[in-house]
Parts: sequence; structure tokens; C-alpha cells
Amino acid sequence: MIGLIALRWILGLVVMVCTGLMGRILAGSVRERPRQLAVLQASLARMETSICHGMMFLPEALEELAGVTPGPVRYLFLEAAHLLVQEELPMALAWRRAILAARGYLVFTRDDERVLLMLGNSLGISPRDDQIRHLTAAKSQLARLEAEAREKEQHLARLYHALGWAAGVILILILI
Amino acid sequence: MNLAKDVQDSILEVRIRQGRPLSVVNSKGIFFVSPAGRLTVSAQTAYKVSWEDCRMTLQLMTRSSLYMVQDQLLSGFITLPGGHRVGISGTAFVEAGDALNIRHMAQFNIRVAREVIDAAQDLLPSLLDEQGRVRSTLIISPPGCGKTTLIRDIARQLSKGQGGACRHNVVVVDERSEIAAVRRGEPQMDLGPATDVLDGYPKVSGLMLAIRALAPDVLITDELGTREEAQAVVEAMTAGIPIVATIHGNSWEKVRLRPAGALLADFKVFQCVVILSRRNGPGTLEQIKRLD
Repeated sequence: MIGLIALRWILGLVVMVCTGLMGRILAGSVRERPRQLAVLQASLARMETSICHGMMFLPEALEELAGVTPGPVRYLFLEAAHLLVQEELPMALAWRRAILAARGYLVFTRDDERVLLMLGNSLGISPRDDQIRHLTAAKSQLARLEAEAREKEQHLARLYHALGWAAGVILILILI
Repeated sequence: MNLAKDVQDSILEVRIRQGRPLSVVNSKGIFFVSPAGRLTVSAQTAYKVSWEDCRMTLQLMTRSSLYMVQDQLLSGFITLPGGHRVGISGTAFVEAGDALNIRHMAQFNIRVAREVIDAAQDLLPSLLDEQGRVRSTLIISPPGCGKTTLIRDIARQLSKGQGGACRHNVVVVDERSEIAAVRRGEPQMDLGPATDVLDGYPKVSGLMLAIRALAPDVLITDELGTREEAQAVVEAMTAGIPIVATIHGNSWEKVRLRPAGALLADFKVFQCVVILSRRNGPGTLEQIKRLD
């Protein structure tokens, strides 16, 4: 009988730790998204310079970006450059595949991805002025999404954190 | 689609036209390509080029960086690594008589560049005078007869000091990157050990720069066309530097009727004219004419 009660408590604790960790992960992704969006905007500004002034081909521009971009966003550029050079894919397809692969390590929402996909459909297929226009448009859309993400961060990060632990406590009460 | 190796080796040009059959040109004429990658004379059974094919072709040729070749595109061609020239046409958006932008690029003519070592072997003795100095020479032929291949080998042999010539400092003004196929500063074609390449330089400024800065023994350039380019060649001649150049045409008499040709004739720039054809394949030597 005592063993059964102890088992219930142990299982309850495990459940609580799990839900608490889930809350932490969700809160972490809410905190991480505005950071990644900010890094992405800075990278696109650098890409603009590479295209406009650096006179670089897109694969080299992407490789260079991958070298200087901090955090996991760099892998987005690295993957796109790899697909362009090694697989010889056109830019739109390489970019789409890189974005899909990035779901494993970036915390972008579908809205963020939509902006990036639209940019990928225009990159490399028009004259320089037009490229700059598309990059500028993408940066301003990402800035708006970043501002929204920062607002959400303030409300949601603590909420997810607290909800994770609260859900654990409730489950323990129900189970025990 | 994969073409057989022997078919690939024989191709001189590939023609990609949206909505029309894929075709190639070899020494035997124009052929179409079947969906299985075989040559055929039937346009009906040939592979039809789609919009997606054209889009993909353009992206691969420009390395997904059309902005890098936008100025070249307005001239109607780009040069691929290896010196292959691609003529590209579509719909031009024109303002005040100038082509401002080209949209719907749907026609590509890929001219395969080939390095033929010793292509100038038979010709070279005729280009040298009794003292072994190079005679200024104009090579004339319609497109696709091997002018570029020939001057590439002339540069190589003069630079190496082959064919009875002593070693020369050669400067190649390669406006279209076809002669040397420079990639990241290094010629992909063998132009010999004593050759400087002015890659991508317009002929007029390139010739002037070469005269002023590179002290060439011989100047080599491709496809003279405008009067300004002919004027630059005259400048080189008056500076005492022999020049080997090419021009489109099929005879010296007809070339002289054009403004550039008339100027070259008036100043007696060239001592030798070489006429090429593709009667027995590209590079057929039709005539060597001495003008001095």
C-alpha cells in the first residue's frame, strides 16, 4: 500500500517536471523568436550590401552571410548556399528547402516563413534595383513581425512558464 | 535528359527556344533533340522546351544572380565559365530608343567554346615576316567559323614562341571573356606563359590601357565592330604594336564597306587578312591575303 502511494507520488513528480519543462521550452521559443527575427533582418541588410555594392553572386553572398551570422540563423544561409552550389537548384527551390529544414532549429512562425518564401521567389531573378526593393520590403515585414513577437514575449513567456508548472500540479491532484 | 558522349562532343551550338523543339548545331547541320536525348531531324518528335526549362536555364546560367549580368544581358549575351557565349533574347522594354530591360527571356543560343591546341599551326608562318615579327592580321568569317578558337591558339603559340616565332609578350583584350575564359583572375584556356589578359575590358579602353601600361609585343582582340574600336586599333598600329583581330564578314572587300572596315583600310592597319569558313567544319582556312 505504501509502495503504491510512493509510486503515485514519484509518477506525479515526473509528470510535473515534464509539464514544467514543456512550459520552459514554449517560453524559450517565445523569447527566442524576436532575437532570431532581429538577426535575420541584420543578415538581409548585409545581403543587400553584397548584392548592391559587393558585386557578389548569390551563392557566395549566402556563404559569406553564413560565416558572419550568429546563432542558428546561419544554418539557413549555409543550407541554401549548399543547395544552390552542390545540388544546383534554382534559388526559389533551394531557399524553400532551406526554410523547411530550418523548422528543426529555428522558431519562426508560418507568418515569418511566408515573408521569407516570398523573398526567395524574387531573389536572384531580377536586376539590382529590383533586388534591393524586395530585400527592403522583406526587412520591413520582418521588423513588424519582430515588434509583434516582442509584445508576445512579454505576455506569453511568463505565462507559458507558469502554466507548465500549474498544469503539472493540477495533473498530480487529479492523479493522486 | 542525357545526350550521348559522342553527340555532346560534336555540338557547336545548343538552341533553347520556349515552346519550340530543342535543337543543336553540329558540323553536319541543325538537328533536334528527342525526349530520350537522341538527335533527330523531325521537329514533331523533338523535346518541346517549356517555360520552366527556360527559367531554370537562366537561373543556372546566371548562378541565380541575374543582377550580376544585367548589363551584359542588355548587350544580348552572357559568357559562361569555360568561355561559352550564350545569346539571350526576350521581350525588350524600350524607352527613348534604348533597350532598358529584357523580360520573358525565352531564347538561348549557347555557343560551345572549344580549345583546339595547334589550330593556328598552319597559319602561323604566314603571320610572321622575314625577321620573325608578327604581321598585323585581320581574321574574317561569319559567326561560328572558329575565329575565337584561332586567335586563342595564335596567342598561345606566340606567347610560347612556337611555330617559328620567338617568344612574345602578348596582351589579349577579352571583352566578352570568351578567348581566355578567365575565372577568378585565372585564364581557363591555355594562352601561353607570357600572355596578359584584360578580361571584360571594353575593347577601346582595353587597347589603350594595354598600350600605355603593359608594353605588349602583340595585341589580340576579338570581333571588331564599331568605328570607335577600329579607331583604337589604329592607335595601336601607330604606336608600332602589331595587332591580331577578328571581324564578322566573308570577304575583305565587304568588310571595307562598313565604317569600321573602311577606317582600318584607310589607315592600312593590317598587312594580312585571313578568311575562314565552315565548309569543311569550323576553322576551314579559305584564304590568306597579303595587303602589304
